[in-house]
Amino acid sequence: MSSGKLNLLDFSNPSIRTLHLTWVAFFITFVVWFSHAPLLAAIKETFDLSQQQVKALMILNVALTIPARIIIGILVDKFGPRHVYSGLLVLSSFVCFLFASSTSYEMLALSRFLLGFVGAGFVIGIRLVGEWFPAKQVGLAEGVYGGWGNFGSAAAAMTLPTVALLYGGPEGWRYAIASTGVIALVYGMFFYFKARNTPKGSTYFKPKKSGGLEVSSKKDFYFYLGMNIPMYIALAVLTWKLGPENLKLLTAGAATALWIGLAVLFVFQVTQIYKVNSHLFTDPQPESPQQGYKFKQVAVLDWAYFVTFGSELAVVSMLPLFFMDTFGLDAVKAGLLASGFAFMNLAARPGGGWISDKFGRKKTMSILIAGLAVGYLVLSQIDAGWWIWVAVVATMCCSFFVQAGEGAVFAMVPLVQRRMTGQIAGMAGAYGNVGAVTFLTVLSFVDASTFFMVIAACAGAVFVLVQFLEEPEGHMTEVLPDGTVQLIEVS
Amino acid sequence: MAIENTKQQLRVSAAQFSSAGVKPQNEDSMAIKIPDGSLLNRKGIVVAIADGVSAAEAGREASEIAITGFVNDYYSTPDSWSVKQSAHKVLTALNRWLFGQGQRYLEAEKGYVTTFSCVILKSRSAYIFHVGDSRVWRLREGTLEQMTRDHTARISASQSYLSRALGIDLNLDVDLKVVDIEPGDCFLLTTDGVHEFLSQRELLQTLQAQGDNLQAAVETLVQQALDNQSTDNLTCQLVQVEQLGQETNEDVLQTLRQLPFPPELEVGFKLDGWCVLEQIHASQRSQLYRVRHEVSGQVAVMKTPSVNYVDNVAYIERFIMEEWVGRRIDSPYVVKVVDAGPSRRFLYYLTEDLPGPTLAKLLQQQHTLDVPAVVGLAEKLVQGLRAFHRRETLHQDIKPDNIVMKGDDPVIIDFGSVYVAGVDEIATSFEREHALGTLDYSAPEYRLQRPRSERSDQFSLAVVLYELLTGKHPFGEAFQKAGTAAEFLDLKYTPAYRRNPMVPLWLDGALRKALQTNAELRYDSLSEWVHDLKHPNPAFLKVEQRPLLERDPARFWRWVALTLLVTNLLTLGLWLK
Repeated sequence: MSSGKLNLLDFSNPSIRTLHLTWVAFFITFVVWFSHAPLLAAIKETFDLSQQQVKALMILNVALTIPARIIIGILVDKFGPRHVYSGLLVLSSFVCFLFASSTSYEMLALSRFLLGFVGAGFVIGIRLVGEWFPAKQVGLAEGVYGGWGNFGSAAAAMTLPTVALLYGGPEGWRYAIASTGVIALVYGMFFYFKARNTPKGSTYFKPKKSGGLEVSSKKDFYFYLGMNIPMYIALAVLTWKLGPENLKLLTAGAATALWIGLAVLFVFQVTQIYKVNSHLFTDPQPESPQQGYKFKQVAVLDWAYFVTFGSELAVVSMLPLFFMDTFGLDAVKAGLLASGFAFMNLAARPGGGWISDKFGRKKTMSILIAGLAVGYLVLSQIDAGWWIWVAVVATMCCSFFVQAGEGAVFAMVPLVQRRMTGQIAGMAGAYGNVGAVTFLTVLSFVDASTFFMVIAACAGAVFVLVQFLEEPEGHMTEVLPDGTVQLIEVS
Repeated sequence: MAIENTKQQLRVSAAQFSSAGVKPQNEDSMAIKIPDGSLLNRKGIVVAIADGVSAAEAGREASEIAITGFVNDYYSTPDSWSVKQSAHKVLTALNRWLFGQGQRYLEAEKGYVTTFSCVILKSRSAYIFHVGDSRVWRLREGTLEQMTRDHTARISASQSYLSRALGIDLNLDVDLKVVDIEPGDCFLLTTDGVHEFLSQRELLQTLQAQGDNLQAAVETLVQQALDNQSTDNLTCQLVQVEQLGQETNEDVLQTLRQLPFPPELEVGFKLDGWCVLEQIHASQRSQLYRVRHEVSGQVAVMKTPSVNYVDNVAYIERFIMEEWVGRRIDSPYVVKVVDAGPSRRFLYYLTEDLPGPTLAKLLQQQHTLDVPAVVGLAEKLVQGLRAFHRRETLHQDIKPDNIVMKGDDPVIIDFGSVYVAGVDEIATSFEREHALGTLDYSAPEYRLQRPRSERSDQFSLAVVLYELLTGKHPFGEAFQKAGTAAEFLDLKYTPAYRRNPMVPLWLDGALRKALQTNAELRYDSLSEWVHDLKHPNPAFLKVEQRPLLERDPARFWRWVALTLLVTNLLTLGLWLK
């Protein structure tokens, strides 16, 4: 236990065991969450769906995740990660069965919408891993957790078409998806029996109440309120998309009810934020500069995650179908090739964090965002005339920048304001989902090539925003050759 | 701390003089108290002056109550209270009392009203509390400076009224000024009978003319004011600082707050002369290293804060308090804090290195311990706990991992969860962290949000002793899950003698009493408990012979209800036949 390195094979160490337990749980949530993507072609055939309906399914899958994150956060506060994670897995298995046994498009849509809840599993594991590792190791441990868990979507893309084929028949996809449900169910129970919320015998501190993020000035307060608006816009646009003018999944009444619900939720959130920050308005004394932080740092990280994780979720959903349509491949091959995008997660995400720590955060972030803008521009040029392997290499290169960018964002989150790491990470994560909803909504209006170009344009805009980022400051220490620790001031 | 006795003490010389002047009665009061020994270090020197308001019927009594009350009560406040908090609490109480007395008069201005000004000198600071129109002056290097502002409202050129004083209103605003002191500084306190009739220049000239003869200085000042036709009572106090006290813990802590967190340490790193030998433990909150001093070769344990909390004020406050608590507690059964040396550049603290093993390790190896050995440990651990409790401190995290063997003696370690009475009442701009202890060992009141007390530590220690005897938790797994009062009452206690036949009935009785869910039912004092652990208490001998109604009321009433039902049915049957 005495070094900053992690020995991932040391199964006698309870922290390591917990890490493995947790990333596998996250992995399974991702398999379940993106189980539909590689099978969409078959599903489309079974129900004779239009292109628009297929795209709506993709958006529905990520929509509920935005509010679900908040709900999951509250549940974790109340019941602890162990109960919530196993509960989430078990419940999601039933939704999986519902999706697998759908008889109508409405049923498909509803179950996919509910599966969006699974996407919020990330939050639980971050909390759990944070409890089990000391500061020195927690960054790496959470990198492993996030990176390997995210790989679940690639695993789904690689294996599920084959599994469907093994079951055989045009309805094979139903069994493939039901199988993921069984895995989730079994693992959910296993997790309940094996995982523990905190190391044995560790002192338990009362968790802080979580409502809104604390900010340091009135200006930042309004800035923060403003930053919450895009989430509601994304959900409102989604409602409109599903409404009577477009996909006709919702009646006019239901759509109006949802809009009103969103407005109420917004007002509620504003009051919560005000409650946490009311001292800014009543207490004239400004906080000491040590305690305060600049909200713009959070905002830039949010947008960076919007374009990285948001685009990843969107691309992972559409890529298998895109390869099939473009190159006329069968489902198995298309799934396998498309998995290349998420495959990079294993190394790129932890790698991004490492590069960022080593070579300066702002510079790394700028380069990675620029890289992914170029990458998406390249992807937008792919057509039937390309060699398939070139297309695959292009997607993998692009995904390296995307996932390294995600890693770089999360490497910087704890440096903004240490004691609020959880809340800031939560907000960035929510922005990732807003990105997914936004990009997939864009996709429902345009073709794939334009879709990639829109992402590239967004990345260009974020590149400009990243220039407003400030390198975190503070004391730095230096170790002399004889081992003496020295203090140097960094300005 | 061992060096407490040898360290440099604050030393002053002082003089005071009061005269009724032309008035028939002297309504001024004054006091100087210079305590010795540790009280001087902890609470400092008090110089206080009060001028009972002449218009008030009870001016004389009011000023006397204020002065004697303040001096007595101030020195009775808990050690852990800061000067500011102590004085503030005492003044608030005095004001309430004076105001309450005044209410008995029909006209309020005839009440108990008095001005109050005082200087508290402690280690290297002077704390000046002030309300009313008496004055505090400081003479430093030939300059006389008025340190207080008169609380008077001027109505015309010749008339002014007191706007603030003790006993006027239920709410009290006291001015507080904290200044550093230097050797040679003089503080002069005067009532208006003196300073209304002598200019600042005259005051300064007299003080300088008299030099070190303080008594002559105060008497001359009063005489001069009288010569200038002073119409009021005249009081004058003078105190001169001769030697500063050594920095106190409070001062040290103040500087610790500014220190940066040390980085993650590796073996071989050197921090302020301490070389890291190995990492003992790392958790999400802190790291523990075994370190050796490069020069003295002393081995100690270094606790460093986790960078997870680098901007968490509440955490830092708590971390610093750990060291402070450790320094205050002196017992062979409590781990000692090691002095880190004069120049600390990072935030950490050191404790003595104990060879171990911890009781948890011991339990793992041996599963259970002998009854006499456990009773022996209990006696020593109770002594350790009492060292905490005497300082109005609760340990709050007694568990086998936090008790380390040092030869045959158990030593309580880890101040990470302590609660200090008083410290929690100090108002701060941040929310304090509240430790809830470790689930298996913390008393039910923590989870039920009921007041905690010394009996909470008693409960935790009883769980540990029970575990030492039996290797099991007295309430089993269910204890961790209980969250409400009803769930705690439903817990089933398994008598220790069931699991270990060597445990005598009466010993189990003593443990059981300390393990009551309701803190009121546990032992009043730890000594009583120790007595019961060592001597058979006849009250516990007949546990099994107690009536069913007492042992298991639910079962008793169930059977009563069932019997009644059966007899009723029988009667009904017979009646119908």
